[in-house]
Amino acid sequence: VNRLALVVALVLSGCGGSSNSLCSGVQSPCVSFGPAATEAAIQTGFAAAQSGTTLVFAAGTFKFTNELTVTTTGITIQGAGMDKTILDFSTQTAGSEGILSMSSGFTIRDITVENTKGNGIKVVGATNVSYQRTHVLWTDPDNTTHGPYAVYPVQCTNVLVEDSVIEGASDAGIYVGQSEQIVVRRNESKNNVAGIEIENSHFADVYSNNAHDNTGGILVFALPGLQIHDNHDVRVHDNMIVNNNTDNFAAVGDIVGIVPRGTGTFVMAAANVEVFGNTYQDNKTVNFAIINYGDSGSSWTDSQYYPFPTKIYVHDNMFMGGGDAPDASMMQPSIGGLLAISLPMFPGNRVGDLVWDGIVDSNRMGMSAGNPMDICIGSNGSATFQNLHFDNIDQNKGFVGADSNVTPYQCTLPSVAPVSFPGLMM
Amino acid sequence: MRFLPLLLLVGCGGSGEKIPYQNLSEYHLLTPSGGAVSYADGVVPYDLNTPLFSDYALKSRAVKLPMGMAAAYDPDNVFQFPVGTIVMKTFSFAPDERDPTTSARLYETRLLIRQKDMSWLGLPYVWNDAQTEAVLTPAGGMPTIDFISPGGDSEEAHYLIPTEGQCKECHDATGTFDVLGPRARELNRDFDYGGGTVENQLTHWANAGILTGAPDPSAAPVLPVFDDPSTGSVTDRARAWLEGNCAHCHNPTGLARTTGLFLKVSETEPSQYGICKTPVAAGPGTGGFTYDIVPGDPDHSILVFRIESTMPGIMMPQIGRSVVHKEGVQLIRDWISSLVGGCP
Repeated sequence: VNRLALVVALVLSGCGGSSNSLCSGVQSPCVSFGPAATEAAIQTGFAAAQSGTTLVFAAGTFKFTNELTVTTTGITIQGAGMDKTILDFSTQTAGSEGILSMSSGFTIRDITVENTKGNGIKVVGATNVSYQRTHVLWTDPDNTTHGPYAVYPVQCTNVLVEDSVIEGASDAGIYVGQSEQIVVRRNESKNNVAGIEIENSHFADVYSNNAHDNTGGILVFALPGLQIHDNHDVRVHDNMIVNNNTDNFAAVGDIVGIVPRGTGTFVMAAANVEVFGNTYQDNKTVNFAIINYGDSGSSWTDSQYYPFPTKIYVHDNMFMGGGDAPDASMMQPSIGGLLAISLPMFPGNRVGDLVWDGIVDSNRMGMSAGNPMDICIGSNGSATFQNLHFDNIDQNKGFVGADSNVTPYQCTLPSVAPVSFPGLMM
Repeated sequence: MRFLPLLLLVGCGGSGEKIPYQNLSEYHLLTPSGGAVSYADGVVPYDLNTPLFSDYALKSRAVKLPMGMAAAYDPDNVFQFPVGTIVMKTFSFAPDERDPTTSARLYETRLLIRQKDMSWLGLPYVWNDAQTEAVLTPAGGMPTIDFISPGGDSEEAHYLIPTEGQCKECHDATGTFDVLGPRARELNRDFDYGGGTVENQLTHWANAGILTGAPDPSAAPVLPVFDDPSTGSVTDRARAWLEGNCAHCHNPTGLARTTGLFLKVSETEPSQYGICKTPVAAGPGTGGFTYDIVPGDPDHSILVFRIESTMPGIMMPQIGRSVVHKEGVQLIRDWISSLVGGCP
């Protein structure tokens, strides 16, 4: 059987292309998998694919027991459309991802990947990575069984995630980590713990996404102890960040496990972040928060890590509702729990739309004319502002030092440049 | 119709005229017999101090260098093998591994062949039921194997014959495919070459002319044998086990470099090898715990949870294992229990 599969795959991968209909119009070399292709044939095709090959799947459902691993440059995985071609990993018994690529020039498009046992589609250490019109989801009603990351490029350069639908990840739906030159646009990310996460990355443009019904919508932050120590130059604009009130279902111990349900966006330990043109609606803990890593209650030993947010510019966003029912379910002390008990002290019994933890790096004291961390709040319609003064907490009453005086932070910062890289269509 | 594939095969030049051969026998490296292999002249078998665990598979390793050629010794890294070197590893199981020579069955032989551009070609060959031939199988496979472990436990392995791509998860995470085992610290041990010859492998390789620049074994590094207390303390053997089983990915250039957890013995910063280190991307792999290693508390250490798991997506290593290495886990538990201090 194996020998037969090999022969079939050799015929398919051929000595210069295929003439079957699935490959028609596809640049050679092309390898195709018809609706009855077995896992062995598909695995053989992946193993034999030469550089630059497009691997085309017919419409249909393809079941896997093992992950698909890409180790050749320039591979494109192409289906017949989201929910038309389904790579089904519900019977997977080996491999930590559904698809793993370690090679540059990786593209996946027009396909659905579902019920991977671990992560969905992970790409490590590659340049030029595209996820286009890709649907990644988990369907088990017990969402704690879902894999952590759906779209998972890490240590990559020139990353594009667009027009995709991501749902159900038990950590982050779209997770871009330790990468640079990143565009995440026009995706729908829902029912994950984190909808979109930009972590320890540089030069990211996150726009026109719809992040809804997650625990947290769009998160921008840096963690200590990694090979890339910081997160900077991020634009988050023209997104819908709505109703992210799903109970946190991440495993305890995961950093997103401490995100309170009802979080629109938080920016933590990041620099040069511009947030504009977004709609924040009905995120019940807080629509938008700027915090330092210390708020997480964790300690760190990474001497190259800077835990504070600096140069954060938030302007021209629209806010509707939210902040009215902070998540107090998390273990104490938690930001959600503190916000919940603070509500009676807050104007209108709700958390401000734009919240800063108010913690100033002592080394920056006195800089920037009373705004040493360069937190700039521009015009945001009727949005309310709150400085939580996180250094003044009463365990019974919450943020007793909080104030709503936005005046020191009414300023502008230079715009963060849009991201572009070769091959990116605007 | 019958002829079409054959014609195409000939047209591709992949019909067994050159490497990679479709059949293992075409290399004339080894001969199967009774669930084991014997090696041709010029093929040198070897063993490692603390090898990677693979579902209790019995492993036979050997290397063949081109005639008259030698590898260059390196105290820290894999030896520099010349073009044309073939490193081979054969995996078999016996129904009762307390008696490994009775009724053993060969499952696969993996070849690594050094190419002209110094890269290595990784080739999985799967043995037939008749145990007469192994055939190149880039798609890998996953046979179910029932056996009794060396410790006397009944086990059912969903043994993974990796796809060619999966070979590279361990061997080629950064674009440079390399062998993993043949390093001075792993090879620095005695081996029974038969006929009454028991000799240190470094010495044997040097005398055979296939290794240059090797010092006397007493001056070469040596990795403890994880299950031999005479070779090191619990700590030393635990770190050796972690190196042999995890460090091919968990090192600053390996596939798990993005996690910040580095498990070579040479890593001396406790937070980098897991002490009170919080996970980065573990997902359900945390098991609900906060730190990779909590000194004194293996039951709350993520590392223990993951090496005790057999769930894909949670278990570590990520591939190459479907049953728990009980002896290895016990050693790691003993080590963590011996540590003091706890975490914040």
